Amino acid sequence: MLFVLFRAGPTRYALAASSVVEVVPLVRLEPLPGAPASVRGLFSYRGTPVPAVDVSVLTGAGPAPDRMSTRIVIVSWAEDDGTARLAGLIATSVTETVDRSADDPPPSGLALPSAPWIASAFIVGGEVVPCVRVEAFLPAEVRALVDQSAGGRA
Amino acid sequence: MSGEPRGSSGCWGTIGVSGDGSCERLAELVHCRNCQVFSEGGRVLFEREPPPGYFSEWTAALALAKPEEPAGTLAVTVFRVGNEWLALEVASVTRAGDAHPVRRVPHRSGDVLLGVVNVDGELVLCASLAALLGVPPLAGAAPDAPPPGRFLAVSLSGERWVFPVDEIDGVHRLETARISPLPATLSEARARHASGLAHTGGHAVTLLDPLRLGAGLRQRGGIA
Repeated sequence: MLFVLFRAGPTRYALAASSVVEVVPLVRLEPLPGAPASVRGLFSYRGTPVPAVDVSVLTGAGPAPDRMSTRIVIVSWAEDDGTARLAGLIATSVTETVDRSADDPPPSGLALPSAPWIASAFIVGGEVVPCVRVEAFLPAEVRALVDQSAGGRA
Repeated sequence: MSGEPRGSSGCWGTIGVSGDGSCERLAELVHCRNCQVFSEGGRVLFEREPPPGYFSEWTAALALAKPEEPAGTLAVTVFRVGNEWLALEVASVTRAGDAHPVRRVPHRSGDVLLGVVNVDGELVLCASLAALLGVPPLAGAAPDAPPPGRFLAVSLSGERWVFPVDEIDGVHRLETARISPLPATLSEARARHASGLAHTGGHAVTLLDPLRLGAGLRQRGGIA
């Protein structure tokens, strides 16, 4: 299984490549009033308004810097009721992928109530890399606001 | 274009391939591009402020629908024999390289079958596409001029062949919808081995058919 590695603050995180739609450069974001600090704003992704979540803010490292290496990882997932969702994750150093075969030691499961978006962790090159769960990044109130399904409330 | 970043500020500029080559890891890695330090140096290039207008440009580009890849493309290797540009689908081309000496096969070598060539330790039949397709030699070239500088190794329905070619233009993508049928004016020898015509890279290119080319080589090369 292929994982995309990125950084948020000093820590490296992994994201299952199967949930990644596209990695695009940082774009201008329209701030969303009243949204949590981690939701930096909305942007138009191929004509659809998509929220951008700054993973660095979620980890407490402060907003990601405006650099060439800071990119938006467009991720998709399906809600429990089958609705397809899109979100943009603002992440830094999105330059590497890692392929984990079935022979590698299995990731250890994690369940942190304060950080539900961390699903597990594994070791890449001697470094502990938490693996994220994309569907848990967006707070529920933002998810309800941006309904990308056809005929949704957006 | 060399792969080295300009301004060799890292160790590759002092003890690596752009420097005096004294790095002890070069013995194992051969070139700095295989080294972890070099790849990390390259990544630092992205750790900079974007140029002005970068965000606006990408905001606009990302709002547009994704450009569609033209459906049905065919990747072909385009090469030149004489003054004729030819193309063969990449799946049939196994290797392109510099010329190897051709060893004649007694009583077999002729116009089309030139002999055998050593490709990676294996003897492969070498044939002249110019003779098979009736491509006239370039004006000014002596009839017994040395063979051209490049070789193309191909695998046609499992049979390996090597062709001397004059120039290899690389891999081009042809839109299958824009491959035109062969004109009636094409010479019979060429029409028998080709499947269409296309324009790419500023040349009119004859697309060769691997099956018919293989059959033609066996027959005219006297192998059948």
